[in-house]
Amino acid sequence: MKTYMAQDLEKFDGSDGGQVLVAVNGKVYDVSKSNRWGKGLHMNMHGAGRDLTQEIRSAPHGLDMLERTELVGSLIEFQENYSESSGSVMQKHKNALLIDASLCIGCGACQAACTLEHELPEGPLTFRIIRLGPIENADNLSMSFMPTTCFHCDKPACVAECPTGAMQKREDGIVFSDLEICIGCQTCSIACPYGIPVLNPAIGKIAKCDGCKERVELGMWPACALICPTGAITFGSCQTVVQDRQHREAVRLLRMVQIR
Amino acid sequence: MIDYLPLKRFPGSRKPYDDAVNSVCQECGVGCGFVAYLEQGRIVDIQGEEGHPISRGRLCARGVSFSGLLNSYERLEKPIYRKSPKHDPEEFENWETGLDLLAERLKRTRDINGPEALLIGCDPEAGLDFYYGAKRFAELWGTPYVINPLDEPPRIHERSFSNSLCYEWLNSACILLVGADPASTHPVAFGWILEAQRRGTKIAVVDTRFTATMSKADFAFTIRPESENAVGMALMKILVNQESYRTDLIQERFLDSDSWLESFERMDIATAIELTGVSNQKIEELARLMVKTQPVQLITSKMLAFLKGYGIWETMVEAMGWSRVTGGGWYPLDSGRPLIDVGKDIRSSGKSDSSTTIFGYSDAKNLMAKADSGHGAPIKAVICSGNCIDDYFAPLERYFDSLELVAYFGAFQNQTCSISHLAFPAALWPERDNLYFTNDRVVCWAKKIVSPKHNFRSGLYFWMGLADRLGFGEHFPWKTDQNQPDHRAFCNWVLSQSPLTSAFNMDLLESGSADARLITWPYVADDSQEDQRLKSLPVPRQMEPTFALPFGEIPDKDPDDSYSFPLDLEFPSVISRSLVPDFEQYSSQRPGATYNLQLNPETAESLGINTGDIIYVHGARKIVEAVAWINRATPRGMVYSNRPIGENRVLVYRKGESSEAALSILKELLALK
Repeated sequence: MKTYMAQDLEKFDGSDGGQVLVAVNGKVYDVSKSNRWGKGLHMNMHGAGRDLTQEIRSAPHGLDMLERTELVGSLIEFQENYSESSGSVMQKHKNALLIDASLCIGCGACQAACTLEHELPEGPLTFRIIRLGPIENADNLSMSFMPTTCFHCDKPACVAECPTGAMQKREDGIVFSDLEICIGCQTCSIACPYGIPVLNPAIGKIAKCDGCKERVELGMWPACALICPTGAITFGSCQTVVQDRQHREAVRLLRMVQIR
Repeated sequence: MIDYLPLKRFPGSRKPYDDAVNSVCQECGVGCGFVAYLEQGRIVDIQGEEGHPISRGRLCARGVSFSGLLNSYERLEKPIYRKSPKHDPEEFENWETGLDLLAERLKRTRDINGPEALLIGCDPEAGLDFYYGAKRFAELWGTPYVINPLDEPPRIHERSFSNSLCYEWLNSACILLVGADPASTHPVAFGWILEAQRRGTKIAVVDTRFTATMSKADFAFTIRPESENAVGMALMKILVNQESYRTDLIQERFLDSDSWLESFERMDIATAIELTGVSNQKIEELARLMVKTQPVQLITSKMLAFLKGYGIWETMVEAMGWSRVTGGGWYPLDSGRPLIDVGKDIRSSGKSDSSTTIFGYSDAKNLMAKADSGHGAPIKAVICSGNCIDDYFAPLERYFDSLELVAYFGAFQNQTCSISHLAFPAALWPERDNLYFTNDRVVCWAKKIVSPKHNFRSGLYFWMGLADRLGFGEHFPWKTDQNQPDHRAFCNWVLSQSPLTSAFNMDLLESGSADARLITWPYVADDSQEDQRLKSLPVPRQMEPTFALPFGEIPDKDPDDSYSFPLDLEFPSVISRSLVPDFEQYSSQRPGATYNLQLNPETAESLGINTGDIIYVHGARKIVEAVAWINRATPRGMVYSNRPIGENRVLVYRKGESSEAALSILKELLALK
């Protein structure tokens, strides 16, 4: 049987209308013939060309659905997302949430998505949109929006000050509060130079961007990035989002010099 | 061809679910596709539908927040009866008792005042089945008075298929938005405008105050309230003077093109520009931009339809040759619904002969105003939906006290509910099957997502129950075997009543919804190619163009009002849901206050008002209390309320201070300009 690396598998995501492959528990299945995998997307959420071991656990069906498809190969250890760091500890690849403030229109969709995702009550803001202006600029007014959420600092003050150890920094960089341990003392809110952690009055614990850690583990974008109506928020590995930004800017500049 | 390939998105829900329903968001007219994930019949997650051509997996705040409203504590749970608005409400366990009572009260009103004493108001939240049911019921009952704010003006429904799909805006050279703030009201559609801008499209915005949309514009200016169409007239005059219009097109498309041209040659542009309150140069600059960057996509707000000279925008795109061109045309927001006559079968069988003309909102205003002339209000009973008294009926509020019967069909316990004699709890759009038309003229059959609670019923149920009790039952035959309303059959029948939509059937719409394919009216059978849609639109007959308004003759504002009430009052211009009409809830973050009023810093300073002060908003008929919010977005001569107050011109002063002093301060301040 053929062996696939994660990178090989990505080519079979069905977006080109070709073969559609998915991996579960190290096995690679061909789902091209299934009518549930049109354009490589299953139930509008599970993308093909990836390891779906985690995702299938939350599916309403079991592994038996895959047994009906063709087993075509095996997936070898997902290497790219891990890199050797100091010592023998394997470290997870870091992701970035890139916010392009110039595209923000202050609609608040990011906050609404976060509220739904984390079942927050009305009130605590985990994604603040700071409105700058309108201010007078020559004889016109100007206004801009600065969407702000947790920066997931390299040396987070909130983690250092948390008396219970609830506030942690995960190996992939995400700073989050373990709500089982959090006592809602809000020491982190005072320690944070940006005042990001706030109290969730409904449960008496801290509400703060947790990088959508569960979603990211399943290979999905955070809720705020997916919903953003203008594409101001994007997500991916640090390299991907920076490259995307460079590409977008380059195309914009090229279009400016082209004659329309 | 240089192109930018957007980042690959990884969608989905992390939450455990046992069912996923694809549907179309009906919070506004954009029509975004989404997937609702359910567990045991409860919505646990909402994500955009990645394959949807308009929304591309994106949604806005309202598009994910609706699920919270379904279980809101402010929902009306049971039918209510009150002897008068001052009496305590009495609850019924079921709808049937309420409908019996409503039928009886209606009969009594008809016996004394005749059928035309009934006025019916429909808002978008109640759904199209409520609206079409109301139209049909009114035909049977014999009243011509059915209001839907989205009906106005009727002429748009007759032709003008020139509006495009949102993503076609990428082909525009210039997008001009007048009175429209899609960045706040239609964020997903605005995503396309920003994308067009990145590709080099110029964005011009004209509005009465500084908006989020304006903050992204390449060229923008603010004008005085209600002068949007005057800007259109002034622009047309400049374009005619410069001979920028297409001579061949106006001869081909316009009836009487010579007198049309002549009317603009005669037009008094100075008065028009004075009305708008901006300088000559700004308007000329805008006209230059529009001539330089063609085709132009015009996007106008629905509120312009209530002002004189609205047709100028359609006339402009036709005269300039921007219509039926990719990337050009006129896109009036909230106007994508065809006119369907649901009463013609009744009329032909001789049961009723009331006219087919649309009864407009302004007609209602005039009708109610007759009460002032000493004859008493000719309307004695109102059946309405949504929070109409705080919305499209706001100018009529003072007549409500004199009504014999107010029946409310709505989902929430709002202000309208609190003044009604009878209130019926309505199902919200996620709780019922809906026929839906988007701004883009897309026709959707959107299936319900969750099952409504026992007492939440649809508009069709309401009208059907009423018709049965009043002996019109045979005209509402759309029932299932269990004697429940059959929405699918009803909507199928509605679509068959107009040549514009009769080619549709539910199977086609359902298959379209299933794979996120856009099906637009008028229906073109072979829509395999995108371009064909444009080409095969019906060839328009010659149209009656909108002539220049005689600006020299019409007075600007009521001089008495502007003397005692020097400030223009504006409020959110989109007919919104009946519970929270406040779009700025995220940016304003000033909860608790019923009204919050935005003031220009200079105006506020001269009156000694600070942000957070309690102030009086004093109009000709009404004084309300509001919290002040100082904000430069509002021009000097204007104040902006988060909700309609039922006034257009007001005086503002701090609580505890005299109105005379404020008036003289404001007069001095505004005269200085």
